[in-house]
Amino acid sequence: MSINSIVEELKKNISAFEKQVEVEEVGTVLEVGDGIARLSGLSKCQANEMLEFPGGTFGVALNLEEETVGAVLLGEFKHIKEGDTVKRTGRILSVPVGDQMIGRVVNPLGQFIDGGAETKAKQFYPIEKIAPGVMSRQPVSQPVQTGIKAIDAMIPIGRGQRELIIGDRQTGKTAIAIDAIINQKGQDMICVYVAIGQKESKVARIVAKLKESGAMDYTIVVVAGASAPAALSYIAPYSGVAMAEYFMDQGKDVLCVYDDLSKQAWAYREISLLLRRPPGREAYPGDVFYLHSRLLERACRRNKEAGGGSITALPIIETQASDVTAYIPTNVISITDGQIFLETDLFFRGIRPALNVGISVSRVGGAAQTKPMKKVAGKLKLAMAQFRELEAFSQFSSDLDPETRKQIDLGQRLVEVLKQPQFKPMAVANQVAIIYAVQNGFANHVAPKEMVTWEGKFHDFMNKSKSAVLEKITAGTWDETVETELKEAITEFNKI
Amino acid sequence: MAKNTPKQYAVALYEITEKLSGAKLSEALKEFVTLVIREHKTKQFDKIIKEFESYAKKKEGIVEIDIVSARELDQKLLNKIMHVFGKNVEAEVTVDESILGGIKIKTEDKILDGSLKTQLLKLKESII
Repeated sequence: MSINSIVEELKKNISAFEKQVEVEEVGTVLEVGDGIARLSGLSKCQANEMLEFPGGTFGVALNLEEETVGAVLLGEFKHIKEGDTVKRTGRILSVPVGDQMIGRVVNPLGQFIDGGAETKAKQFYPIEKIAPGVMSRQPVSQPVQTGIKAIDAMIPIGRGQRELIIGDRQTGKTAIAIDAIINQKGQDMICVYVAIGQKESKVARIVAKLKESGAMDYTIVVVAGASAPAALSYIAPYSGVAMAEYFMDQGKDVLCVYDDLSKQAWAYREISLLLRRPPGREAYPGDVFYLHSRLLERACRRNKEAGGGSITALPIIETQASDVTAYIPTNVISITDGQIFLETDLFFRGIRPALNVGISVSRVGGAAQTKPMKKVAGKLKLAMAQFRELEAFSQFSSDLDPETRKQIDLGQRLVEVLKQPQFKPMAVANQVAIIYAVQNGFANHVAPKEMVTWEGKFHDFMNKSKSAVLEKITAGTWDETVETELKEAITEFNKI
Repeated sequence: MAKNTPKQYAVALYEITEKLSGAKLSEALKEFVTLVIREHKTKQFDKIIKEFESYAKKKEGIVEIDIVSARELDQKLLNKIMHVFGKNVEAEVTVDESILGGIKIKTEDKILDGSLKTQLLKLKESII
């Protein structure tokens, strides 16, 4: 019975099938090499259109010239030779988007590279899109909790903000971004981690860490490895943000990490030079500013009328020998809403995360801080600034007046408290409690070196016995009663 | 100055030789060859000639098409196909059994694919 019905169904399908003559527009390869191809024909080709080369390799048309089309190849190109036929696909370069992407590792074309099950995408988003305009935006009002004390207190990040993480190699830039992703558990955020030109081993380690901490349940990892063609590195952040835009269109909040944009700029420089675009400063093409501005402008907080949702961007830039006046760092600093500076000498002095709090800023994040955090952080910034000025005198401790002595002591303890190991994000309430305790002299009896152990015990005590106060702080209430309760709790802890 | 493509040479050659004949034509050709040698493009002579042929044909209203079919086509059918593309059609027919049936026609920048192989592939796609 069932076989008959299948046959019937099949027959119906076949009879309903109409034969069509397939019309394809084609061109020919004039020259190919170094990941780019020059093509003739293709007179109606669109900018950024996908082109199909023989052997299933795709390319993107970047240069549309009078006689020829310049295209970058997205993948293997050894088998492509002069005279080969190239087909137009009629599709602007786009990537699959949707919930099925969550928890997966994909390449910049949206193909799964983690060996997991293939799922068909229902929707595609073009990777290049104009960012939301003025009328559909609103200022940041909700915080992104990174779980890092120094950042959440002094350089707060709001949902929809663009905060640059900048520093030399080996200063913990990726560590901050990964910690921020791990801390989004239960915060109703989707994360997109875009690895551009990274070692595959490093990406594998990051993915393993994210899995271990349960962060892969809400994270998409887009990888253009160090061995991938420059074209893939170039499009990787755009495909990452396209996947993020899908979730923003659902009214969700998304955190996008681009690790790192200097490598993307290198890839773009390579492509541009091969396509014979005129080089400018540091041999980057003239539109390298637009390369990053159009990407980061897509991070936004949309208002209710426009559908809500937000994309927070954490671009990463690697500097050479702390030179922030190079071309790409200055560009990206000027585009973003603030920057987190990481420094090598702080890193080696054991201050990790190696934040230079003096020159790191967040231009808009303050509006998104919770009330308790705002209250304690205001004093913290001041105390740290005073400490930096007096730090040089700390060696002459015996000759100092008591007031200066006090400030230096406080500063040293605060520096200790702001240290935080990797993969140990902390809840806001705990951050507020510890900073409050140190600031108000409740830790004066503890030597700076002992601070770490003291802090550990303090959090244990607070989490176990005083969770009621912490809950109030988490809820964002801060008044005299909460403050008194917190004070009492700390005094009680000190008595033990 | 940007590199000239073979096509640009071909177009230039066509335009200068179009209305010339006799002694003037051979003089012009000589000049052209000197130019190509001076610009170190002798390697591309084959391509320039090819481009020149196709450009000249296009200018004179001749349409070039490539036909791929599974079996030899008889003249009557061929004439019918050629008639579709205009009056002056030059067709090159190749036989390729791998397309199973039907024909595939390639014009300058388009492929009209009416082969049985493609149809079957499409049917497969529509069912699965």
